[in-house]
Amino acid sequence: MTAPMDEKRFLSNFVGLEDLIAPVINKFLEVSPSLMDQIRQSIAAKDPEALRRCAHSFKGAVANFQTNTCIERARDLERIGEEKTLDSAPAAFRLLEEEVTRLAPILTRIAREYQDRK
Amino acid sequence: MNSKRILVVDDSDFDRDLFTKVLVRHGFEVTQARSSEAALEMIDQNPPDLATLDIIMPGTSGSALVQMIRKKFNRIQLPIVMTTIIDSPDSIVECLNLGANDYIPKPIHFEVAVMRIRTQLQLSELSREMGRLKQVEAIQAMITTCHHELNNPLGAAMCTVQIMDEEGTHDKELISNLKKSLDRMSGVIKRIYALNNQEHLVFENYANSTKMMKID
Repeated sequence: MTAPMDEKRFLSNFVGLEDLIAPVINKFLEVSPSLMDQIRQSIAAKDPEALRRCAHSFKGAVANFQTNTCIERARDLERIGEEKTLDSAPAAFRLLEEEVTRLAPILTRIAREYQDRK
Repeated sequence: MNSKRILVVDDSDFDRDLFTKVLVRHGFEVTQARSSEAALEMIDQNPPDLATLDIIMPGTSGSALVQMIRKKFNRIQLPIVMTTIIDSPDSIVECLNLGANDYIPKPIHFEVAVMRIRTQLQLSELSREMGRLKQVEAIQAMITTCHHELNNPLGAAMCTVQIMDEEGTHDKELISNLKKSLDRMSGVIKRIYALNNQEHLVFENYANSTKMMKID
């Protein structure tokens, strides 16, 4: 199983901006439950356009952390919304949830490490 | 360069805030808009030096926004850099065709993004400078043209007037010569004035590197 994120690549993007790392991660950890909830609700409401839009927003936010698998999972949901093939959405959402569950502790650790960086 | 004003347009609060923080850290003054409609209003009120637009936004998309902006500002007046996570190069090509200056793929590599933004700002500045130099060149050529075209008939007119004054005469031939000189000057002035309505001024070599306007 591949790592949820490419830490080295993520950190290299913040050279000279290390003090932004913790706030950026904390912001993502703060907003991601809401974004995930919006995806869940769009699937429950069988609203493909909302699913496409929410999955796209989540993909954009999570992409900042060099998370290839997570991006792929969000992209799958976005495609399901585009193609209006909602039957496969619940399974695709579970895969995204699993990936986010793997990602969250790593982000929390990195945020802790960079909490007091100036 | 670093005090340039950037407008960041992105419906994702997260992406917009992050990119804004990075740009501010690099010395830019940043304003934000979360929709194309808000961006248009801000551009109308106070145009920035450069705008970054997300391609996919609810309502008016980034690519549609490019078209709207280009009706008012060209690529030099307001450079536009698209930001996109879209996999298809077609969308990027479409935006560039519609008038975007460049694009930055998402996830944004901050250092690359800042360099590309600076490059666009420098290109814009250089283009403006070239425009100013062309204006100066046109003014110099116009001065040369006026001097060249008006000097001869003016000299002839002054000579004629001097002769008439010294000899106390109202000789018809002298008056006719004077009238010809004045008519010539009047014609030159009319032709120079008509240049105002020409989109493209045509230069011609006068001497060495000195240029004149073609007024005929």
